[in-house]
Amino acid sequence: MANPSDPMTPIKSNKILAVEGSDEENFFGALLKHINIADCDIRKVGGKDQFKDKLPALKISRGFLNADGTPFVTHLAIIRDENGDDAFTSVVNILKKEGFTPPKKHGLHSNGNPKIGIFIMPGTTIKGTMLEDLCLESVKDHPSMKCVNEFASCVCGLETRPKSLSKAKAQTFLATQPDIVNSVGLGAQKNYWDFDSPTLDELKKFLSHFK
Amino acid sequence: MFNTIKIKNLRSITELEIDNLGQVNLFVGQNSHGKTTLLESIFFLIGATNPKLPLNANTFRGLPYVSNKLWETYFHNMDPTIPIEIGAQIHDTMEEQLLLIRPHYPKPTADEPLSSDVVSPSLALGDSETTRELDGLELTYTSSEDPTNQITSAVYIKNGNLTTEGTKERNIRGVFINPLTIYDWKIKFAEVQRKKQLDEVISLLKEIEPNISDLRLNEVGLLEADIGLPKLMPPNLMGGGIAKFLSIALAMFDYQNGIVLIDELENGLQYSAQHKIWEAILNWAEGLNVQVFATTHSIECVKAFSNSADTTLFESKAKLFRIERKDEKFRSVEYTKGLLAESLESNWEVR
Repeated sequence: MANPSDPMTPIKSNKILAVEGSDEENFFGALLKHINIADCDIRKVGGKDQFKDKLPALKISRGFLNADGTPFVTHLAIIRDENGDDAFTSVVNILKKEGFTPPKKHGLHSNGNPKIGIFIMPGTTIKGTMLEDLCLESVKDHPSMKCVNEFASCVCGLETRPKSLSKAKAQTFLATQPDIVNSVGLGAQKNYWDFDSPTLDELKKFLSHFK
Repeated sequence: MFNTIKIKNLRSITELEIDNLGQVNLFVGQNSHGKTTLLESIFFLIGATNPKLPLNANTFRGLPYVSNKLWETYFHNMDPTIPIEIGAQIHDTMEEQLLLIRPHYPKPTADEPLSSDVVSPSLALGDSETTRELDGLELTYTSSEDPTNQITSAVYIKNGNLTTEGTKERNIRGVFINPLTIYDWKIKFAEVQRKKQLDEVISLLKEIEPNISDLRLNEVGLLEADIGLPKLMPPNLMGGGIAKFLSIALAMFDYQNGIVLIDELENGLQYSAQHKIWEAILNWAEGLNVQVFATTHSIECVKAFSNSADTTLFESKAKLFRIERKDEKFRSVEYTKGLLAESLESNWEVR
């Protein structure tokens, strides 16, 4: 029996969704709930610099294999931002180094044991490099977006512009909501992003392998 | 220094092999997964030609009795027909060491009538032993450096008395520290005094108790410490984990170039003391050339181990192994310092 005050978390589900950080953990927690996928363990594995160190640690954490060494985890899906690098190839190389069988393309799952899926944000159907782009696309017809786009136009004229316009726009959109939250993940938990938008169809199809 | 340990049929363990052992090794795992048995196996191998060691191990387990009923407790499933095998490889020389522990049965006397089992043509001669009461253990030690030199010793009860035969000294030395032996200082301290190493021990203890300036045995053999108070004080009463610290310090000093086994390291230690004790163990292990094997259930102890390993010179030599068990199958999972730090940072269960 687990100690409720113990922060250490053994793997409980044989389906693992590996995401970058807390924001993604919150976002995908809400999205999986929305599409009725309850049996899934979300693990934070960091971005392009940390994934190579986190994956081997995840692989040996208690519960990834059964105690007798036989496989327990049947599905492992990795979701990462594009971030300007060749994210898919980078993830594939790290997976291969750790002995996993990666899929041939973004959005697919391999037939390995465990089955490995890779999804590079924001997907192939929209422009952008990160989760925020997907979130903004899902609410592109929301009345608040007029204000958000005007704000974006305004800041683009400044001498010192935000490093990431997508992040700035996402924060601005959240600031237009009745109860302001400061991250896209918390915004997802408040249902501020439109999970029923066709924009999310590619991602939801990828996640449907966990059903 | 041991590089590999292999165990078969010892107590709860059916078969377990641990490779890539470091200079300082922390074993974790759930209850009844064989952590203490693992320490015992190393203890038995260190003293492979001292047949009394298994009795000491049972004493540490709360079984301080000499009785024929207890010989079976060493064997897997209490079945003495399957011998215990403990093997190891030495890191630098690749020497292979093997200890076999078999049941010892009373030798039939010349005028003892043969049992019907023995004369039955349907039974092999060896089977006759199982019809007699087990009266002890027989230990056979071999080394790949001198494979023809098989050293056999035995411990058994004869006419109601504990008897040993074949005991020999060995080069490798080690000590087992567990919650029952923590206050067993008298002999080790006398040895430190005899070797004129008291100042060095006090210097080590200053890491956890800066005010300590002297240690001495009083007229009744009680160890007392000078920590600047008007009177000397037994370390047992000083708190702050000083008793555990002193036990480990004396053990590591007394067993330089040897092995120190510590069961339930966290016992009686607050988190901050665990950090200090790990820093000390890691430094002493390097400075005194001691290989350390410890067990813990505590995540605080694991974190202290990981953080302390970070600050020492030989972080690559500090390893954590999780022992896993499913039914009769055992395996070990190795964590290097880097993997352990990544896991703890993410709160992923390592135990």
